[in-house]
Amino acid sequence: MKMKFWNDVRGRIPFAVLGVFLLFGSVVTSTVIVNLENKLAEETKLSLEIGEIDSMLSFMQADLSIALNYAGMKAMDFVGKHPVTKPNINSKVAMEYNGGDWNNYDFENHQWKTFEDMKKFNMNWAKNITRVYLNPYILANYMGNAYNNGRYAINVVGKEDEPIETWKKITIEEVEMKLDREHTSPVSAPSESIRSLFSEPVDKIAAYWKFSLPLQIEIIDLDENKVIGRKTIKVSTLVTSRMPLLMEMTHIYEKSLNGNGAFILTTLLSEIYTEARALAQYAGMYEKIPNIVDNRWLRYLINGVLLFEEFMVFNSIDPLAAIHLLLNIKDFAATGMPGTEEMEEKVKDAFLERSIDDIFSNMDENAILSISNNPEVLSEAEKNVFDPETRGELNITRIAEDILYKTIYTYYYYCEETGENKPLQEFKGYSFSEDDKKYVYISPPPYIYKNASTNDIRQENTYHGPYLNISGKIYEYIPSKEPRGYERTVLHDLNEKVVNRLGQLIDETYKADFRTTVSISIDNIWNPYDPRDDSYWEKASSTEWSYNASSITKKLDTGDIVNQYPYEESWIVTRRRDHTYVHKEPIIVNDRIVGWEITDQKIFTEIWKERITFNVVAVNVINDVDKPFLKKQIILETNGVAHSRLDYNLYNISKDFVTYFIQKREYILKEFHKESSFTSFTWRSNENKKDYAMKWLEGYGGEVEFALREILEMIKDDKINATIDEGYEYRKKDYNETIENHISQLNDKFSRRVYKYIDDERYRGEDSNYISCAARIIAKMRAWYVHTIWNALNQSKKI
Amino acid sequence: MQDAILFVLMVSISGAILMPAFTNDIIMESQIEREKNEIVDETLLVLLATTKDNFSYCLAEDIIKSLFEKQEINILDSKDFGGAILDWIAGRTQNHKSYGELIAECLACQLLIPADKKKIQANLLTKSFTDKLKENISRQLNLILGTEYQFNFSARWHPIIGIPFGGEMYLGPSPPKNAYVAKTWITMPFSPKVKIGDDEIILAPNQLRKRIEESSYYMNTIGRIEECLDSMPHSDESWKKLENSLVENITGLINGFLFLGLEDEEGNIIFEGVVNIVLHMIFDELEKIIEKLTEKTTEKFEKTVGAPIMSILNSSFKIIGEFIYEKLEIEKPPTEEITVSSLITDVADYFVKEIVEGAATTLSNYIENCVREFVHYILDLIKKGIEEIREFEEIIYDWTLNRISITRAEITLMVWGV
Repeated sequence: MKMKFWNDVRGRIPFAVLGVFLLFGSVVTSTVIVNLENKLAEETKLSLEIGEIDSMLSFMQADLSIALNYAGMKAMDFVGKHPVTKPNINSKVAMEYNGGDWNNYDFENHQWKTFEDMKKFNMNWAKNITRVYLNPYILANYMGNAYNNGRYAINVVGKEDEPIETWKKITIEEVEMKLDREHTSPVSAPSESIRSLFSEPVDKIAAYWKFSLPLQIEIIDLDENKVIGRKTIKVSTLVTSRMPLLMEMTHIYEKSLNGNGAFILTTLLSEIYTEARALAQYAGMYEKIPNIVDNRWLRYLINGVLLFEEFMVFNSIDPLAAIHLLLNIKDFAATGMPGTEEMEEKVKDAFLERSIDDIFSNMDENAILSISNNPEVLSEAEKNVFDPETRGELNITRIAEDILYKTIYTYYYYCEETGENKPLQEFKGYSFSEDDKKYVYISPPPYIYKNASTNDIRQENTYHGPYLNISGKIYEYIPSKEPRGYERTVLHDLNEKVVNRLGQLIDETYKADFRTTVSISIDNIWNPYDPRDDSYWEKASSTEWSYNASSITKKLDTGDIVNQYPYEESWIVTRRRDHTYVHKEPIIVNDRIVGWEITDQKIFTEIWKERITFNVVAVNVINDVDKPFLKKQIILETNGVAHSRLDYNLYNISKDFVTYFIQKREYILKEFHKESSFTSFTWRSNENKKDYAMKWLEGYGGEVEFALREILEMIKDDKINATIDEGYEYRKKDYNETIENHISQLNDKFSRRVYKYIDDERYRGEDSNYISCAARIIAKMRAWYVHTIWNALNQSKKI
Repeated sequence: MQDAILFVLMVSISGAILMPAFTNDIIMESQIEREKNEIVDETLLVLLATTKDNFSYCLAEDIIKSLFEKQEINILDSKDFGGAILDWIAGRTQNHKSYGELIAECLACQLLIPADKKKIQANLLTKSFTDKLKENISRQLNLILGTEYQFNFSARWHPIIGIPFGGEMYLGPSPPKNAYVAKTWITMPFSPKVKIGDDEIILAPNQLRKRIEESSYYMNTIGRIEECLDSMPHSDESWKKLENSLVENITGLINGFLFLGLEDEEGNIIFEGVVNIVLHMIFDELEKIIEKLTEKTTEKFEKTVGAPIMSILNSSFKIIGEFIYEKLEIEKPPTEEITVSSLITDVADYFVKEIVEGAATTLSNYIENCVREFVHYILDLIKKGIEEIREFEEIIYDWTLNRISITRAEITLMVWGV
């Protein structure tokens, strides 16, 4: 069989051989195909890994866009709140923001030549703030391998603390949009053609800023810890702040107000109204309409037009502004048109009942309460806020004046039922009730009444209500063009605080205590010797002491004064007396004393010598006055005028002390001191119940008042005041900011002048000590006054 | 005949050999794998970058609604008008924000706090924000993926990884095993620059590392390891002592870093602890939200909707405070004494009590197990012969920093075919 298979000569290839080839072929084919597929699968896997990095990069870009938006929002929030309208042209940084030069700046008018220039500056500034805010986000999330998936990390390449070093890398593109004003409710929006008549036409407007930023990144293989790729990605985002839109719209509003629309509308409405008034006069209403043109209604019309323009541009108006306008409708109607009086009464009632005021004006009271917890400032602020003349303005001059002088505020109230005028020295609100009578707040006298027909004018010291009937002639009350809220009387008397402080300073300055130390040393001498130790000498008799006191140094006599302390004087007090002694000798018999025999008699002189030293030191004496114990003629200068004053300084105190000292010294010298001793005594000027201060310092017209008045005048001249901006009433929740701004304005202006006001140097001599005690008091009073004003400003309560 | 049989047999064998080559769909599977991965990545990317023209929600919606009902305010009888009033008081609209930003903001203000075996969203004001955002994300994902796919979306901002504190959001059914996953991080809106006393720190890895390195616990830990490298322990008892010492110091380090604050060797605070920092971040945001909520509360409005509602709205912070005290079962101070700083202190103390002192076993076990496991890993490395202290420094520093994610939230999307 086997042979047959090999020896087959039929020319046929056996199936089995074909099968072997087939088998071999299929193995090869299968291997090739499987290898190919595996290779393709590997490639797919590789591309999956590449896709992994791509996907990380895409997520990174998306997330960095979010971070860029956060940073951009913060930057635009800041720029929106603090836009640069007047740049510091000396700043290099500012110049960079402005494009490297100031060619686009109008130096005469201190403003940019165009709105676009101003916008470009603020845009560049916003870029830099964005950069500052964005850096921490990048540092936290995209540096130091923070962004990784376990295999790869992607880092932003940059400095360790500041990955984006310059704002110039950031670009901003304005995104323009068409304004959609269809949503206006409840009134449908006016068509664009009507709008364009009254406001600047707006097609598209830059609503958003799109920020872009190129960032270089590096891809790191974490297993091998090496950089496997670098590239630059672009991060961009639409920053969702509405600041650009608001800026553009405000600019359009500004252009609209200066454009023809507002002018035409104002003219048209004024014309119609004036015509109506003129016709009304012809119609026999002359009594009620004495004039055709009146600023009050013109003001009302203009404000109305401004609101109308606001509506045309912004598609809405500030509701509170509209309500305030309505509240002032009396401006429009109070000149005598039909129904005016009724309307006026309603508005007045609304105010008096406080129903409207409660809603919109309580913020004034809140402002007062929040402005300070210092009673002086509080009182001042209260008056100012309620005062129609100074409403919304806090003036530092008044605070300073109130601190210096006694002031009386008188508020006037009127009872409609009885016609009584009631002046009060406290503000009791717009109205109050007492004994079933209702009083309303009115301005202080005089009150002007005018007869519309004859134009007769009467000036009354009492308010008689809106109309005054004298012998059938009706006079109408004409409110003052510059109404005042109260009468403020500044008395020629210093405020209690000033007097107290002055008293303290006088007590502190015109004061001295003197402590005298007395040291006594005793010397007992016998001449020729002391017989007391010898028992054979026996005293027989003694004479009286003689006394002699003599100073061994300079000494004070009545009327002397001491210029300089410490002061010392020494005395020797000598007392003498003679003692007669007998000498006794014993008589001895058989070794026993049987009696005494006087053998001698002698006189011994005993000398008692006291050395007494008085050492005087001045304590509790001011040490910043030149030669304080001398009286001096000093030159004081107030308001540029010099005059001379004699300041006794501590001269009289020193003199009084010397008198006391001499008395005390005489007593001590005469006292017999048995042994050496050391004592002291003190004399205090304030126990002397005498007034040592210069009278010309005190009271109204005194030197202190002159000096403080000078400061007050300087403050007045410097016009240190701050005005609360118009918007403060509408920012109910932003009082803190308003008040702080306000106080900050005053502080800022005031602090720059503090040294000028105090002017301490004026009262000091060459050795930098005060030239006299009075000068010291004046200088310190000036400093106290300025600091009291400063503290009054700074004691504002933060809410 | 045999020849033919042999041939047929060989043909069959050849067929069997060729069969896998022709029937294998490895390329197809790879392609499908790649496509699905791309789909899930693209979907997540598109979602995060998609901007929503108007995204509206109500602050404190539940609180206000329940108050409306309780007060029986006539003006709100009309449902439409009531809705309009509600919108006016507390309605918020975000324009042109991307979902990425909305998600980050939502997580940032949830104030999720772990209570015993559950978690509470303490910020009652933004519950509606979360619900509305979930609805919108779900709608958007359905729009992108169509009906062929199902999804599970999760966003988690857990500043301390593993502890449900911060904010989170889950959407969709449980995923099967073969779901495709895309995961990324999004930046949280808080600025990473924080103030510690008079000092400022950016929560960046490099700056955090410096603080960790200056801390006394870290220095002790490194000191112990250095000692060990100089003279290897010889007995089991010595190894045990070393282990206990490391556990003690690393627990101190992690507790300080996360909860109690880190001190340098002189006792100066150099890092206030993640919980404290995060609570300050959240409450700063919360204060802004409350400020916006109350900015319209004029007296006129009070007259319209009633003083009780206004007073409650104005004290919404106190409501949140009381809610937190109640849910966390911590002793509540008198309502008028609840302030931001007292609340932060009390919540931080709660964490210390629950986790550091181990009152809540589940949470405290987390730290203990974590630390012990890590110490075993370090000891293994020492035993294996790693002698470079630098390597241990890197390991401890990496391990500590890997416990936190303050400045970013993790977003995961899982997609599978229906």
